[in-house]
Amino acid sequence: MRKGMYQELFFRSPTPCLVVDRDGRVVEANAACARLFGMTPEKGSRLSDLLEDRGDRLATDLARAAGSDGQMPSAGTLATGSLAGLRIRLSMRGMRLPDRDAPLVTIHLRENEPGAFRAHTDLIRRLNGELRRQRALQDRLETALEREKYLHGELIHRIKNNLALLSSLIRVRGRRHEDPEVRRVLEEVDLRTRSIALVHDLLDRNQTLSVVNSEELITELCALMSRSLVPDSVELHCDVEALELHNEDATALCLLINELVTNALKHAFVDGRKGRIDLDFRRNGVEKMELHIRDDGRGMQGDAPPMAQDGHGTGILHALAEQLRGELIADVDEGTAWRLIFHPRAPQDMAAE
Amino acid sequence: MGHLPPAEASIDLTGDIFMRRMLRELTGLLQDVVGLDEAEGYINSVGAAMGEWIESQYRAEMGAEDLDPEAVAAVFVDLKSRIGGDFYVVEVSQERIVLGNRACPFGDMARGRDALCMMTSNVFGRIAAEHLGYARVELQQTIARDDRECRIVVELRPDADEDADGREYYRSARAG
Repeated sequence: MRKGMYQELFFRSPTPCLVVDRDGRVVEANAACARLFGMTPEKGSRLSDLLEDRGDRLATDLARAAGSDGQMPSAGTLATGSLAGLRIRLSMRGMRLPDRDAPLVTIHLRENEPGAFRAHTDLIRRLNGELRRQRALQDRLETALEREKYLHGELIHRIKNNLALLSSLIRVRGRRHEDPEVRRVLEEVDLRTRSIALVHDLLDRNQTLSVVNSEELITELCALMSRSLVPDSVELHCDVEALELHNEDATALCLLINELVTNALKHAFVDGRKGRIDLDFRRNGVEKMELHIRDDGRGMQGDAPPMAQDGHGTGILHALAEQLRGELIADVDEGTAWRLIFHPRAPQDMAAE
Repeated sequence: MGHLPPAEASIDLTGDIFMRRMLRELTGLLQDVVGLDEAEGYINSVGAAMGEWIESQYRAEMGAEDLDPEAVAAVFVDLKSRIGGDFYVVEVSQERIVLGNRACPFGDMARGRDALCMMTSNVFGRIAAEHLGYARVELQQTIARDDRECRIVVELRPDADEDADGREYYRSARAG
C-alpha cells in the first residue's frame, strides 16, 4: 500500500491504532487512541505504560510481529483511561520503511467488544441523566400546573362571589327605585349578571376550569328565569342535550338565551296573554350545536317584528351570536322562532381539563 | 462369538496421526469461527515461534555464522524431510530460492486448511530473514489448495513494488 494512502487511513481510522518500534516506543498514534487511553499517546512514550504486559506475552508478540508483515494477534490490558484494567485484543503487523533500518509495528487495538460496551454504558448514562432532567422538569411543570389550576379555580370562585355580590347590589337598588322603567332595566341587568354568574357557579361547583355541561347549565338557567322573570301565564319548557361547552361559549349562550326569553316575554305575551316558550338545545351534525327558542305568542299580529322593536336588544343578540361564531335567524309567523347554529370551541381548547 | 481384541484392530491411529488430526480440527475451527485471515494470524504467531526455534537449532549445530542462500535452501529441504515433507530445490540464487514439494508434512490433513501453509511461510521466512537479512515468501502452489505439488518462492531482495505478492520477513533485532 502506498505510504501516503496508508498514513491517511491510519490517522483517519476510527479504530485506535499505534505505530511502535520493536523496542515498544510509540512512533505514531491516531486520534481514536484517545477513546481507549484517555489521551493520545505521545511520540516516544512506552507501550508498556499504555498496555500492561502480563507474562511477557505482549513483548514476545511485538518482537515476532516486527519480523514479518503478516498479521499476528495478541492481547494487552489497558493501563490508562477510564477503561483501565480491561483486557483487549490486539492485531500487530510489521512493516519496513525505506528510510528506517529496523521495521516498525502497527498495532490495531480491537475495541469492538469493549467499545460497544462502553458506547452502551455512555448511552445509558446519558439517557439516565436526560431522564432525571426530564423528571425534574415534569415535576416543576406539574407543580406549576397544580398552582395554575388552583389559582384559576380561586379566580373562578372569586368571580362567582363578586358577580353574586354585584347581583345583590343591583337587585336591592332596583327594588328601592321608584321609577318602574329603572326597576325593569335593573332587573334585566341583574338577570344578565346572574346568567354569567351561573357559568362560574357551575365551574366552581364542579371544580373544572373551562368546561360546563349544557344540560346542567341551561336547565338551571331556565329555572332561574322561571323563578325571577317568567309570569305564571307563560310556560317555559326546556329540552337540552347534555354536551360539553367551553365556558366562553357557555357565557355567551346563557346571555343569548336570557335575551331571547326576555324578548319573547316582553313582546309575545303582552297584556297577560297565556302562552308557551320552548327551548331546544342539541348537537347539529358533527361539528355544530343548535339552539331553538320558539314562542306561540302574537308573532306577526304585533305592531312590528321583534327584531325591529328593540334596536339595542337586537344588537346584543347578534353580538352574542358572533361571539359564538354562529348565525341567528328569526322566523316570525304565528309565533316567533329563533334558531342559532354555532361552532363550539374546538375540543383541544378543553383538553387541558 | 468373542470380540476382536482392540490391539488387533486395524485402526489408523498413531501419535502422529492423532496430533495431525487434532491440528486439522483446531485449524478448521479457527478458520470457520474467526475467518481465514484471522486464523492465518494465529498460525503466523505459532509459525514465528516455530521458525525461531528451528532456526536456533540449526544455528546451534551449523555454527553462528549466517548461511548463504544455497545452505539455507538445504536447511529448508532438510527440516521438511525431518517432519515428513518431500521438498526439493528448484532454483537457488542470491535473488531467490524456489522449492517444490511432493508431500505435505501434515498429509491429507492439510487439504482445505490453507491457514496451515502459513506455518511453512513463517518457518522459511524466519530462517531466510535471519541468515540473509530479508525474505518474501510466496506460496504459489499448495497441496492444501488442491494443487498437485507445492511451489514456494522465497525472494531475497526487497521488491520495489510495494504491492508484490507474498509475505515479508525481516531480520530480528537479536540477529541484526
